[in-house]
Order: sequence, then C-alpha cells, then structure tokens
Amino acid sequence: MRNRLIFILSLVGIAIAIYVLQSFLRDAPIVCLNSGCEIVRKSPASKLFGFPVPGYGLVGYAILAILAFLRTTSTKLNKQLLPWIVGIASGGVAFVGWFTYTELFVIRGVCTWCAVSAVNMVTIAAIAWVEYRKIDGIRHPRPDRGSSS
Amino acid sequence: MKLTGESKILLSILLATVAIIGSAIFLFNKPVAPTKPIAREELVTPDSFATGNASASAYLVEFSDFQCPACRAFMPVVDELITKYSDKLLFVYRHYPLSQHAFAKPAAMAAEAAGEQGKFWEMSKLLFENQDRFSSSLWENLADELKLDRTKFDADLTYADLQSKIDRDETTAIRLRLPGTPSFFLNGIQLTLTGPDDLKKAVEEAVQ
Repeated sequence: MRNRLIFILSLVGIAIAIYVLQSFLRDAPIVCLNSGCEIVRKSPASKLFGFPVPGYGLVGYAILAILAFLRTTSTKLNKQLLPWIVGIASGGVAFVGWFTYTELFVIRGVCTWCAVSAVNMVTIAAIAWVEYRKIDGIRHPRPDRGSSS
Repeated sequence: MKLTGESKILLSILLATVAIIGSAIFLFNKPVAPTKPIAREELVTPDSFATGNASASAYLVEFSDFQCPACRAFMPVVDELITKYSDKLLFVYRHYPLSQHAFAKPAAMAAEAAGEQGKFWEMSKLLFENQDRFSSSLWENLADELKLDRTKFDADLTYADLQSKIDRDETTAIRLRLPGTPSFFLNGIQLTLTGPDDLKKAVEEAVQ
C-alpha cells in the first residue's frame, strides 16, 4: 500500500514538473496562486547548469515512479529497489530544500507549484523511510531482552 | 517481466492519470482568440504620470514595482526609448506594487508624493537606483536629495488620494491578470518579452 502511495505521489510530481517545465520552455505564463511563479520563472537562479529546475524534478519523479513500479514485479526487486527509492527521495528532499532556500533568499519569490512539489517530495521520502524501517525491522528483528533461552 | 496483481493496479493508475490529464488538456486547450487591445482610456488614465508626446499614435504603458529587480533591469531601455522617441511615443507609468515586496507600496507613495512637487520621474529614478537600500527612512533622504519641500512631502506620504490612485492601478493590474512586473502594453496590446531588447525592438517597430 505504501509503495502504491509512492507511485501515485510520483505521478503527481511528474504532472507538476511537466506543467512548470513547459512554461519555462515555451516562455508561457504559469497559472499560480500568486505572482511568485512568474518571478521564479523569469529568474536566472531557477536554472541549474543552464537547464530549468523543473526538468530535474521531472527526472527524479520519473525514476521514483519507475522504481516503485518495478518493485511490484518480483519479491527480489521489491527488497532490492527500496534503498534506491529511499536514497533518491532523500536526494530529492535535499534538492527541494536547496531550491526553497534559493526562492526565499535569492529570487525572493515563492512559486506555488514548487512549494507543492517540495511537500510532495518530502512526503514520498517519509513514506519510503517508514517502509524501509519496517522491512529492515523484519529482516533484522531486535532481540527480545526479556525472554529466556 | 511478470506482472503481479499490484503491478496491474499501478499500471491502471498510470493509465487513468494519463487519461485524466489528456482529457483535461484537450478540454481546456481550446484555441485562444487573438488578444484584443485594451482600451486606451483604461491604460492611459488622466492622473497617471506620463511623458513624451500625448498626441502620438504609439503609446507604451508599464505596470511596475519599485522593489522589483526586473523593473530596474528594464529601466535603462525604457529611459532610452523615452528620450529617443519623445516626439513619437507616449510613455505612461502605472503602479503594480507586488504583495511580497514589503516596501513596494511605500516606495510608490514616495514617488507619488514627489510627483505632487513635479519630481515623479526624478524620484522614480532614485528609487530604482537605491532599490537595495529600501527602508522606511530612505524616502526622506531621497526627498532631501531632490530638494523637495519636506513638510509637504511627509504629509503626502500618507495622503489618502495618492493611496487610492496606487490601489486603483493595482486593481487594474489584477483585473488584467498581469503575471507580474514589469508588464508592458504597447498600443493596448500586452507584450510578451524575454528581456529589455525585446521591448526596444517592439517599440522601434511601432514608432516607425
């Protein structure tokens, strides 16, 4: 169930990233709750190595969705791919953290879609960590100190 | 690769998502009618500060915010166009103080207060030049620099009529669904610009 949730949230992230990325590439206005999206879109700080930031989000979310799907295809992959999801989602949290900082203190404008995407990525990472700890707990159960041999 | 029951559920979710988004794009992506020019009376308000030739056929209206870095970046090109085409172009300044800029409205009030003493453009220039130093005490220093009557200037900083004028401009900008600042209208048509050079090119074409 948790993996299904990761998959769905990754699809949500892909949809947001595609919408924002197309506005960057087509230089089209973004439908936004405030004027922050346009300020962010027009800022040079919203590009990393010459490529718009939502492009990186799209790649990250797409990898997460593919991994979440592949986990369902076999028991072996289910266990093997979870650490990758945890790692990528944690990297995603660091990335959205850096970009939120850039928005607040460099660009001085907050894009609503970026904020939603940041919350989305944090949620995915949290779910992935809970899943990882649960599976890790099953693999390496804590010794029961109260029991006698 | 063998598809388990869960794999099939995820594939169904993916297909449903693609179908929903595809339908939404199809339904909402109707052909957009060509942008109609906004009526001159709505953009060129009699009490707004304007410079150039009032009877020129070409008119450029800027919705701007004194705390907006992009507006400052456009300022040299706007100044150049005003000077170069003073007889062929009317330039009108409209306020659009963005809510995330704490000093945008006080700065607009300072410009209007200076305008009451005939120094709107001089104050505008100073405001953009001092954008990084904005504080509540800066306006008085700038007023002194322009040798304004400080008693009148200080009183005008809170003058309700000037506040209403700025609020009216802001309401117009919101009603026109402007995406941000600066937003330019050339002969009533909103310009889509990627930089100051685009503005220069558009105005030069319009005045030829």
